[in-house]
Amino acid sequence: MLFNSIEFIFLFLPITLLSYLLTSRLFYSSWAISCVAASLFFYGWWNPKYLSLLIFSILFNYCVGFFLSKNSIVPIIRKNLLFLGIAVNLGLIGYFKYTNFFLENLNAIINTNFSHPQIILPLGISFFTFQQIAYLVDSYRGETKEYNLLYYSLFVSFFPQLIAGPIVHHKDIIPQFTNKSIARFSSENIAVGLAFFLLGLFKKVLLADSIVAGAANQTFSAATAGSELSFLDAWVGTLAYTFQLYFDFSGYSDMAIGAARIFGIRLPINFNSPYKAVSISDFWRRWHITLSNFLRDYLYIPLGGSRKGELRRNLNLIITMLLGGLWHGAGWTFVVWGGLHGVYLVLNHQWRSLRKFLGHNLQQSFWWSQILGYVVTFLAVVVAWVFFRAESMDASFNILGAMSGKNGVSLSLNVLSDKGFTFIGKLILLGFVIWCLPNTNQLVANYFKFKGNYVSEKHKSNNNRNIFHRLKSYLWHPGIIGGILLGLGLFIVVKMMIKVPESEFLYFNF
Amino acid sequence: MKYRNFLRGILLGFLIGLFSFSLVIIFQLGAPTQSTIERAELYEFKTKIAQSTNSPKLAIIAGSSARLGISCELIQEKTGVSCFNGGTVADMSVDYVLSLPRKWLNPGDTVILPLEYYYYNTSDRPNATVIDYVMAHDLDYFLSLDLITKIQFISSISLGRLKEGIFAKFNPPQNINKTDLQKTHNQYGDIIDNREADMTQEQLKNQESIAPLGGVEDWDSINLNNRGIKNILKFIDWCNQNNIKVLASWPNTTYFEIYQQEQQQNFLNSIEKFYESNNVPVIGTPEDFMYDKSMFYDSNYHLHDRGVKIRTLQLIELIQPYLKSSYLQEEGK
Repeated sequence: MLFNSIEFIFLFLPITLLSYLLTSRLFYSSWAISCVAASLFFYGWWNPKYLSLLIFSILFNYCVGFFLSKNSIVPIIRKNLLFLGIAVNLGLIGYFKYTNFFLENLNAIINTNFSHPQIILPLGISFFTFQQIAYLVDSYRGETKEYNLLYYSLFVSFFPQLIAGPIVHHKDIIPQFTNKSIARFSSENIAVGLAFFLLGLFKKVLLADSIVAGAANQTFSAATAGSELSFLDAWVGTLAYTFQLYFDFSGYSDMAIGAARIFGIRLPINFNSPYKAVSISDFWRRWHITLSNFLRDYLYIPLGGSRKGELRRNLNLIITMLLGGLWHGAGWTFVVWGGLHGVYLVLNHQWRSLRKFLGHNLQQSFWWSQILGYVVTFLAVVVAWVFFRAESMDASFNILGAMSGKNGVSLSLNVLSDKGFTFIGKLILLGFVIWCLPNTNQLVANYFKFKGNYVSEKHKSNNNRNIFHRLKSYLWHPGIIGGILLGLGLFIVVKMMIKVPESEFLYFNF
Repeated sequence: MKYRNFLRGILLGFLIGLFSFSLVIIFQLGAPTQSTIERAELYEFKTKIAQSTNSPKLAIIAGSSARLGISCELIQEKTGVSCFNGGTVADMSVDYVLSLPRKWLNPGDTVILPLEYYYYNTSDRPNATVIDYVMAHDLDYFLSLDLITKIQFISSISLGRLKEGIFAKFNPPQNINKTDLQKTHNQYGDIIDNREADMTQEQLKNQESIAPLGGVEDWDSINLNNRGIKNILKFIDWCNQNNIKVLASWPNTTYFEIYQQEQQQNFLNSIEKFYESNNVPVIGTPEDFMYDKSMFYDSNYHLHDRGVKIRTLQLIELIQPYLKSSYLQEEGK
């Protein structure tokens, strides 16, 4: 079931909320039973066959986590248990996600002829596996406190974040479940949650699907088919995808955060205006924040982080990003995308080291250096997205070649001629939304606080300095006029959803 | 309180949007837009012919491949059975194309369905052309739809179409490119201005560039849950209830090797199975009606007059057994 489907908005969500509120009066934590049941139904809606996989994964990790938390167990056994838990999780994701990729490459390298089994990638497996690996490590480190199977099941399967995150920590979510005020009716939670959800829905349906998805698909399909793209085609198509991915995934995250808040659960923000980043490190602190944090805390730092010298730090960055790329998809284009970001991060660190060596004050920045930082970072990210979206390396090189002027620097649209130059105007409008308007978190900032270390203090203070934060009247306030405007927007979106065939969220594929 | 007001506001805003949209739709219902005038004239023309053709009759129902593919004049001449060419245009949904014959057919008639191939692969959701036409000319069809489809129809009306509808309400458009249907069609509903001898150099050049049908790569066994297939089945049921005999057949199209590949053959076989499992006899094979490019007029579904003659004679030979049993029974012989 998709968040942007009629059945989710008008049936699943209201029925689940109603049962949540009604069952909460029965007995303590009965609300959690209704939420788990609804979440399993939500997952089973896609393919009931894979519900057993999710349930197995929950039970297995709960048991392993339970024993890992027992300090009385001999350390060596605890360590082996942790390895076993991680291995089983990686084994599952490896089988479902990477078997065909592995066989394909094996066949190519040693000239064998293994046939590819028909494996369907279970929805959200990358997310719920990573979330549970984090849980096992946290249990081993003694950072998890509450061990209740019902709450644990809800922590993993909670439908707003089950399919595509945000990836959350046990220690941040379980205390919210055990809070006795959770299942009380709260018009504030419903209002704030609904506002967040609707803003995300508008981003997904009105901006990502309606404006840019068509041009992005057209350009990348043409590149796959080997068509010769013009300079402008390649840039416009790639920028269209750059914007599509942002509005699609950040829209999804907003909807997830909003849906959770309706039930009184606060999920961490996952996007913080990533295209406003002034450096690539800054970009990764703003883009898919919960995944970046996971990769940092459970991969980069255990590999040694920056503690073992510059060379080792650079190597760790490359390894982390390569694996991060592979997590997104079983294909060489994803590996190259990850590798490219690894190289960007290394260059970023080396540049900082050079400036330090030259005696520059790294805290000091000038307006022109800020602008240069925005432009260079954005261009680097756009170039990397080409690999991320393209269906093959050949298609990537086809687009990058056209972007670099290999086919001539012509300001004509060949592949996208049906869209016309008005489409460039739409891209400029979306650019305005991205760079000049407040993001959802800033809009709803007064009503949304997450108690967790997901956004750095530096970014919090940056947000406070944002002009829109100062102009408080522009921020969202619950009131009848705001409600009417959102209701009108909802009507427009629902009308479009009924008309346009549903499209999946891009991050469901990862 | 402020949160409750906000929630009430969302509901109110949604209802305001719904109410305003519905008002505008109701206001412009039945206003004939420019884009629908020619089509309305064609349907009216076909309806007149159907109603003036004696029953029991043989009716050919499909898109334009029947209009430029089968000669009812020749069928009537060779078999003595009244024949009506109900081929129209194929850019409408299959449900709409099959809703028209309900006004044209009488108990005892026989209908042949040489439907174009894409009708078997379509999700048959209301498309812009159908919505445009139905909102302007066929409110009865709209009212006959189930609630969900009605909602889909209404919600699929674009703002541009609404604007056109309002404009047409105040200033009904005229058919500026009026073609004289009396001159281009005969009294049976066949197109008669597709003469091979009159084909221009450009048409001959286009004939050479005819390619396999669009979407042929995606052909595979048909999905019986597809709404397009369900709508065909709905029409067959209607015919059975009204004592109208249904025969399925294949459209005339250009021959290409790709149609012989396994996946494409699966598609064609599944169509045959679908009809057979619903007790509808299938006349001929797809290959019987696949011809060389040189037989075509202006697309891979449209034959020129020589092609039409060859195709029709082939069809006559194949339908003889069905006509005999059907018409002898009707006449009590």
